[in-house]
Amino acid sequence: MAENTFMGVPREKITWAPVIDYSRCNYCLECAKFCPHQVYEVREEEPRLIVANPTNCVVFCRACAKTCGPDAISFPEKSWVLEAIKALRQEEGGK
Amino acid sequence: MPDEKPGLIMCVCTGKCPGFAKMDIWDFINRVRVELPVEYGFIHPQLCEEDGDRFLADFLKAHRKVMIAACAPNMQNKMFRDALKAAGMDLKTDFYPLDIRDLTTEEAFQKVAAALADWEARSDG
Ligand code: SF4
Ligand code: SF4
Ligand code: SF4
Repeated sequence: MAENTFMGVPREKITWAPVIDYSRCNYCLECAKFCPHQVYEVREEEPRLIVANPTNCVVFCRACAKTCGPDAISFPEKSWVLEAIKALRQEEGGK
Repeated sequence: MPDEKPGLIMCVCTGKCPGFAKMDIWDFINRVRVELPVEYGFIHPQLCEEDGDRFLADFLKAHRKVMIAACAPNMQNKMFRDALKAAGMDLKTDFYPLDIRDLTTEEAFQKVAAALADWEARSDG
């Protein structure tokens, strides 16, 4: 099993990851507690929470956003990401 | 039907997720479906995606109790509540969400075995 590809495209080329709206986030850290993929990093300094490892995020997963009370987490448009994956796969030689 | 066994769906977060890195997912699901008291077991790639919603809407029509071995139960309750309700199923008695992330194959197998026994005991009592 290829570990670092998704639908035939290197994971690091796919721009799927959560985006935190800091004007809404209350640092409850529910998102970081839920996600087992070390996407988030909790820090001492502000902002106390960052998306440290965006390419660890499971493509098309939105589960952590569902834990977020103030609705502070968003993702790129799925249809747009899907088009980008198809285009990248063509470039990779249509695998 | 009192002696009807539940079905088990393992959800693997696309199969590319580090949460299942310690486990051989194929050994896990094969042991579960062959050795444990389930009607069947199978793997779904990403139950909380749109096709997962469509799949559940279809699958739950059978009204078989279902255990979902995947991520955090509170999250599963949120994600699957609507689909279960739409199918006329009872979240408390017909559904058993189980977190099997970050476990080895053996640990996950034992966790499912214990959960099935617990569920069986609950529905008897
Ligand atoms: S769940 Fe939402 S509010 Fe809580 S820390 Fe995460 S982004 Fe911030
Ligand atoms: S979308 Fe899923 S994989 Fe990505 S950060 Fe949230 S819980 Fe983790
Ligand atoms: S239901 Fe849970 S385990 Fe399955 S894809 Fe969604 S977050 Fe991952």
